[in-house]
Amino acid sequence: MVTEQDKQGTSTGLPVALSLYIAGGANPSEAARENLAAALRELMIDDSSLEIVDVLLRPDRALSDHIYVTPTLIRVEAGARKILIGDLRDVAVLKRFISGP
Amino acid sequence: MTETGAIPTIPKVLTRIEGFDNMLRGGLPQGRATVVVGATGSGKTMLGLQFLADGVHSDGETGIFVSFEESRADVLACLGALGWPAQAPDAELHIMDADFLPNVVQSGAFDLNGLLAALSALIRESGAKRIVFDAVDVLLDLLDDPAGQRRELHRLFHWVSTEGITAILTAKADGFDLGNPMPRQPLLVYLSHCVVILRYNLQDGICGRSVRLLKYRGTNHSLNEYPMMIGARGIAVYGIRSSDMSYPVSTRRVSSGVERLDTMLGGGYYEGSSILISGSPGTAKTTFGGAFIEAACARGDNALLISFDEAPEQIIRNLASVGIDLASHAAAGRLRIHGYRAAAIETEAFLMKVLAELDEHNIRALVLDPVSALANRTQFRGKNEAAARLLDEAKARGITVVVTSLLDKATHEAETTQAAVSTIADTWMELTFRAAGGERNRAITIIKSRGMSHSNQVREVSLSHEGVTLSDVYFSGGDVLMGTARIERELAEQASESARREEFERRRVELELTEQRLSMQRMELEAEIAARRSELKSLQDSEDRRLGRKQKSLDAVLNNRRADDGVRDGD
Repeated sequence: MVTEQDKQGTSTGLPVALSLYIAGGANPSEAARENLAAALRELMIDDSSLEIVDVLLRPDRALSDHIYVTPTLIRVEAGARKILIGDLRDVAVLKRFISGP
Repeated sequence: MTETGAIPTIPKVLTRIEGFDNMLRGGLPQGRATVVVGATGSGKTMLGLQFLADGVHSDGETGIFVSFEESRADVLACLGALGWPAQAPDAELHIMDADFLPNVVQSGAFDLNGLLAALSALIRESGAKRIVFDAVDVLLDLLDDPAGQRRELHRLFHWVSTEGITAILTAKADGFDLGNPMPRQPLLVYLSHCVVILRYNLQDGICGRSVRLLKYRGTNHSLNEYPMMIGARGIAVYGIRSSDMSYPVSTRRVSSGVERLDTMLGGGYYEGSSILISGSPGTAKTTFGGAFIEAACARGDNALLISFDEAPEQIIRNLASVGIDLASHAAAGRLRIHGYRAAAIETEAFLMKVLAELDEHNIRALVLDPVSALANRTQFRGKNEAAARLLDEAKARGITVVVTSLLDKATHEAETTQAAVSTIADTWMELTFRAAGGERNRAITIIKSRGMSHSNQVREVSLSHEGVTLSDVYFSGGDVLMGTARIERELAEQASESARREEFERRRVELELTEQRLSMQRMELEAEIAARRSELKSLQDSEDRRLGRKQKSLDAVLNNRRADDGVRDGD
């Protein structure tokens, strides 16, 4: 694990590019924002570079980024695109998604 | 859910899928959602794409295809199969593919807000009028709880009516119940305006497709299940005959290719009619079919000959031996000949192929030899459905069709129940063998011919290298004379005729001679009469002269005597 060392220091920048697509203040979207923020805090990851896209305001982004459902969390690392959909209620799944291989 | 009372007319959008609009009584509900349910591979995606592609082609309407299961490349391949140009601009048909689904992880609830917001933006941008959500069941499956599924379905249907866009939602059937496919989410069926069921029909190892309308709000739709085919032109629905038949009817006659047969029929077959030629093997059914085709090509019409269990080359060779030249017409491209192994054809696909060919090549004359091959080869309602349907379709196109049918001599029952085809056929002719005097001869009879006065005579059919000829048959002592007996009779008749002619000549000459002789005699007699007359006259003259002389000499005597005066004065 390359990221093991990162976790021991203070907050670092995102190891990967993360984008969260939400639809205004709909229930799952709101929950996803909170669950993601909490997970990033626990992982000691600075969320300033986390991109949050409200598709109701930016439907063009939903189109271009192939967003079918909200909320959708997309992680891009070295060209590989991973997708997590839902309100991100399962903390273990979310952490694995952010910092896993 | 049921509609009662007056049925409001709702605006509809034509799909232009062959036969489908008839089923829908005019098309899909405009600005509403239609759900298409079917097992995997039943043609759901194809139906959706055809609807969109036609919108672009025919109405210039932009369409959106949202694919939850297939990649963009697969969708484009499917469109390519429909003749869609590979480089078609996205401006006409937007394809959104869900290629993210294979590597998607799910955690918790979600909604379709993102998708619908994106689509609304796209509709405003492109002016799209039609949309297809392909494999919406895949998306709904991700919503684990039924409550979430219901919520999002309501959201989706509400969005469709708000946008006023005509939508097709396709959903896979639950499991593999081919008989009665229903989606895993029953709510799909309840919420939609119109539900189309695509089904497989497996019977005797032969699989066919069919389509049925489960519901159509506000439309008195057809409840029947109809055969459906997927071919080069996409989906087509067949066998939809409105109970009131209407065909283009022509009074134009086309030649049967046999001169005397045309005479028997009062001028030939009606254009656009169907002709059944039945008979036992070897009665020259194919020859009559070939003669008809040759005449059609010679007129400049395009023709199609479909032969079962006989190769085209063989047919060309065999018919050439009786003076029917198909090779040159085939070479010129006027005539198309296909041979099929009857046992191997898939009826639905075969019918579709034939119909496509009829349209593509503007066929005016069609021969099916024999139509019996299509019997028992359909998965839909009745043995002769396939044959009947083909005749029906040909008739609707105004094509003249000649079909042959084998007749089992032993039972005198046609191999295909002739009753079925013969009811559709406008003209039915039977070819028979008559064995007499040590030979078999072919004969043709017209059993029926609708709408024309036709001969009730039996004619003998002779085949030679010059073609087909029909001859009169003779009745002698209550028996029909054909073949050698007929020829003998003809020779005998010829002989007695010439004898009669000779006798007449002889009598005529004899009489003329007699007349001449008598005239001569008359002249001789007249000459003799004249001679006798002059003889009589000269006799009379000489007598008169003699009497004159006698009187004079008497007078002289009296003068001399003077004695007898008194006597004479006293008289």
